[in-house]
Amino acid sequence: MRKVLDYSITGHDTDYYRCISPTSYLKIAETACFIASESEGMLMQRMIDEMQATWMTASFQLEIFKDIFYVGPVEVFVDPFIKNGVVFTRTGHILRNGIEIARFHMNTMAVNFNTRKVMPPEFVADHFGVPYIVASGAPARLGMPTDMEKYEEYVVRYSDCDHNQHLRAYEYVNLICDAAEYWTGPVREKKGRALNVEFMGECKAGEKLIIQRKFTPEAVYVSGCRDDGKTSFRAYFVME
Amino acid sequence: MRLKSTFPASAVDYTGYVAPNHMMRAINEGVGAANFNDGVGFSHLFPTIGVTWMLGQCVIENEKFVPCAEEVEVECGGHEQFGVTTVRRCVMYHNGEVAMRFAAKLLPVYFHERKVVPPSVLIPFWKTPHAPCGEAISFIVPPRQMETVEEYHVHYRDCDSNKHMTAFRYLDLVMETAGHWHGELHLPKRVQIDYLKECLPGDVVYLKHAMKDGLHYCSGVKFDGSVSFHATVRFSDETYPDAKITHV
Repeated sequence: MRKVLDYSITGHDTDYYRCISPTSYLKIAETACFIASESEGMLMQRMIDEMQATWMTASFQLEIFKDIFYVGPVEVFVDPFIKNGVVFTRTGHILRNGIEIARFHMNTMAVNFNTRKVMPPEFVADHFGVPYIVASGAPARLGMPTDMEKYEEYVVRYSDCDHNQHLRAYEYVNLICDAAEYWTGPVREKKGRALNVEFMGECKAGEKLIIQRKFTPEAVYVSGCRDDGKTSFRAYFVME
Repeated sequence: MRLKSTFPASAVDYTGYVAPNHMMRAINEGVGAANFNDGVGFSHLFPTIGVTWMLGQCVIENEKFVPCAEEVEVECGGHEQFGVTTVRRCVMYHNGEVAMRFAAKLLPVYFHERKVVPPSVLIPFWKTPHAPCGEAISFIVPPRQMETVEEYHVHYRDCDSNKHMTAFRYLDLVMETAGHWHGELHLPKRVQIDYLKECLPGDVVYLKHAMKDGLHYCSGVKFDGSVSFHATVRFSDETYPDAKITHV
């Protein structure tokens, strides 16, 4: 693994309980992955100009080993790209004082923004001469309960969207944390331990998302469904 | 002292430029650093006397849009005392040019009691003398007739450790109400927000809007009728090409 980012966690990265929330971890992960790709020569602007392609996050897994309540520096290390079917997996390690406090797996797809079709990841990697490891196949998908309860209807705002004009990945995590009662409920100051999110259908500004959830002894399942009935995301969140 | 920072990939907004709330966040880091250097940072005040800083008013003057993943520098001036409040004025530079000017009126508040701290309490903490007072930030007087455009429900995800909606989320709501992301892109030349009453998780805020003399007035009124914030936004007349690069 190689170091790609020195990040200073500030008060603005902390949540209601002054803890680094899963949302902040995803922001750090996105930043680290962007820097890692650019430093390997996989420049975003070249992808756009030469391949009419952009990256989209397919899924994200986060493991939190140690809770961070204080601002200060962290280091982010990443492993080489792994090709898993149509996605590239980037594993990252977030360390404070040399101790791993969180680990993430970011699965991204290269998408042609003219045809809206997924491109084979090796096509992009070979174009830029970026080495990668070939793994066995696509990551396992989440199985969701069928008896989920409705929690919230949320209309996506322009301010929630990024340049792809979809709801930002980390805004999904905010929605998930609220639905999972990460900040509320009978037990306060819960500790997030593992989060698995699959992004399945983009949401644009003005679209309504129906958020559903199911509490189980092991974890909370959260999903988002658009007005047209298509699933937008699925998540599995383990808390202590 | 100039504080350098690079906007992360996640800071980009619908237009492809750095989102207004991330611009504000970056310049606010400069305010935090200036307070820390002056001995009145959160880490000085909270553990010793249980005091935190809250934003009372802010004025944002943008000179340009900033593309994502680029470095900016933030420079903050000395602290000015206006009654119980402290004013900081900061400038953000991008490629050596001014990108944003920011004036923040800060209130020191006892975290648990939610009461404003008398200036005398902070005297032992300040390492530097007050700077001469610059231009005062006047309060917004909104038009009497405003249209209710939205009912916003405050969630925990909108809040920070001060236990209320973050100043940045207010800015999102203001920019949304003023129509920043609708239609042609104009630079928000001047934005002012008067933070009047905190919004807690579970609160409902009615967002109101009016136009007067080319100025967008936005207000947030809570369900009990109390005013949470007033804001004004003045956009540039000229339009800008957006920086959006893909439409997947």
